[in-house]
Amino acid sequence: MSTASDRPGSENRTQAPTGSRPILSPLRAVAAVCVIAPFVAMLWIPSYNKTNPKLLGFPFFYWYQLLWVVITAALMVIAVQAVKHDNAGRRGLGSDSGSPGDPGGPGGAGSAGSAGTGSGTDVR
Amino acid sequence: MAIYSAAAAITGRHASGAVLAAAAPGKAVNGTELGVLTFFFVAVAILGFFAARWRRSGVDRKHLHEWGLGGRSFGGWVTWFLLGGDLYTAYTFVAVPAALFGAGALSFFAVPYTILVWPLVFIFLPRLWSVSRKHGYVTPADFIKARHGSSSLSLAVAVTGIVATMPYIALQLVGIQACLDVIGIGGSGSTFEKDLPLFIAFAVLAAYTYTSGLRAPALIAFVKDTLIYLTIIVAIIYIPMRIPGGWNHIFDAAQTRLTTPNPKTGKPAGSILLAKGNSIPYATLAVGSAKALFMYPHAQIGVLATKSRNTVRRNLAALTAYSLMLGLIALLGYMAIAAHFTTASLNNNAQHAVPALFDWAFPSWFAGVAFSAVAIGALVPAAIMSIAAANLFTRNIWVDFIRPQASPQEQTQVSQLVSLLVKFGALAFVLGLDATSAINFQLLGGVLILQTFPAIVFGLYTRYFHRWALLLGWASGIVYGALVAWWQRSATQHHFGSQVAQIPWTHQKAYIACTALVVNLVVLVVTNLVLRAVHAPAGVDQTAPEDYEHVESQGEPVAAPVVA
Repeated sequence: MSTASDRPGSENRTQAPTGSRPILSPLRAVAAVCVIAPFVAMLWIPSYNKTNPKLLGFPFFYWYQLLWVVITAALMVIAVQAVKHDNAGRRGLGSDSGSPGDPGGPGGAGSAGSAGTGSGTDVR
Repeated sequence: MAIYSAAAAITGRHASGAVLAAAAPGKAVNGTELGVLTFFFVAVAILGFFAARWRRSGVDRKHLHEWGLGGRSFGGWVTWFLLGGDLYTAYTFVAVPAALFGAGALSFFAVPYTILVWPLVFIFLPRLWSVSRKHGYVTPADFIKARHGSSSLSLAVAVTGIVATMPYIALQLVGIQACLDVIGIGGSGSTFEKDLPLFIAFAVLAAYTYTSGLRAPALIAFVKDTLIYLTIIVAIIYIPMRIPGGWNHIFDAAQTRLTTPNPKTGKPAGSILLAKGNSIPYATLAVGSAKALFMYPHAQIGVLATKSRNTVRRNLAALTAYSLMLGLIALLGYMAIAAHFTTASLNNNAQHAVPALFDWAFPSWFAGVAFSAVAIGALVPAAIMSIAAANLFTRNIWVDFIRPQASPQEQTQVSQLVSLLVKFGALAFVLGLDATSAINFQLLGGVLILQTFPAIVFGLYTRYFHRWALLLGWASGIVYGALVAWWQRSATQHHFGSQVAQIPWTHQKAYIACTALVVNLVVLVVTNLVLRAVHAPAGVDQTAPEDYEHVESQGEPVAAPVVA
């Protein structure tokens, strides 16, 4: 059964313009870790199937998983930025020209410090 | 989750503790609640018709891209609201809290499910967007046909999408019905009288979907999300204040109720932690649902309607806000327990847990706002789902098998009509089945739709898998999943009683969708080796590797020529 974790690898294989750079660059490895981490955390159920420590009356089981929603938001910002910079480096270009007039959206709303998510440049 | 609701129905009948909260259904109509709900409903209907003129490009007014994908023009903000409207539905507001109400921790799988969705989106949806934009695909089945050169595989994906979507739409109606019941309209009188309000709501929805297409739910989603965020924030702060002891007491009360053995079976309904043996069901429900979500045509439509490859990726962090909201809404189920609602006091329908809680906790006018949030939160996805199913029918059944010469105008007209048919089909579902079954069929939808995962997702990366092997794998997964689901009995149902079943040759239970996917993959790999060995004709691939990285360039026509 294919797990989600082997798909970033396959994307790397097909995401072609290899040039002089190795297929698995450090930035791509960072993105892969960010994508895999939520799976490891959420599927490792014994690590959080417990009552204590409680937080504001919430058993650990509940607040820990809700905390992972926020952590995942941050990881997604990092992964998007890593892939963007990696692709920019590969092409030796600044970045793709995004559609002008794209309002950029609420990209940064989920996490402070998500610089650049609303910049209107296409992340590849 | 139906398995758990069924358990709750039994517990509730016997756990007749002190009922502090009034039993909602069956009482007189609450005029204030009904008035507020009607006000929002009319406002939203006006917005829906107005949406036809919103962001209209004017170029291809009659093309299916316009009606069915909103002109593929949606940027970041609209996409955030549209995807939220897609993904967070009556399932979130009514079914998940009802499942926690009935069975506890196991139902909290909805939180890891909606966490894991986003990394999956990050991985493969930009590729699907690129290849679809490059070639002008309107549906995922369009992509399958061009990639694998197989109309039958495309038909399989299209039919699965339509079939799996119908009960999902039906579930939205169950959510609206739960609100109407609690307000006091419905629940008594003849069938016609009882369902008339629902019927009117749906006729209006059908009318503005017909005229405005995807623009209507996209515009209404703004109102919907505003109402929902308002309701949830107020509920999360205000209701625990109404319950003496706050959050500590809410979890304690839930634990006490859930672990009390049912006098009939001698078994407790659940616990606020996962019982032994429930880890695998929890994990498979989460992963299976996450993988299934973006196989649904209505979820993909939200992505294909965006104007740039990275609109969705840029939105990922913000989209997780919906997951947080879902987790908090789920806990309303425990609040309903702490407020002394039992299944018996809810008219033996655990689906009433959240509306009844709102009715009890809030002043009437705000309860009306909350019901509007739930009802509009159900109408938006119902509209998107019917549009997605209609697109599938038009592109992959009507054009491919019935009228290949259909013009873009004709395609749009067929889609408009089918969107009506799909909705009335869903209405028939609701009128014909009880609420518990509707949720169960929705989970069956997940079992079915997940079987299209190999054809779509593997197809985005490789042509290693032969089209016939993909078709055989799909068929095996569907047959296995449907049969096993059919065989599941519960105390209240002979069939489809549970979506968690034993893995063959083990004592371990898991979500049927995942077991069926394993069957699918085994058949796929084995038949693929055979077909490749005998050099079966592989079909023509109309896509090129660079299409999957395609980025919109300035001035490119949105509606690329249709690939025949």
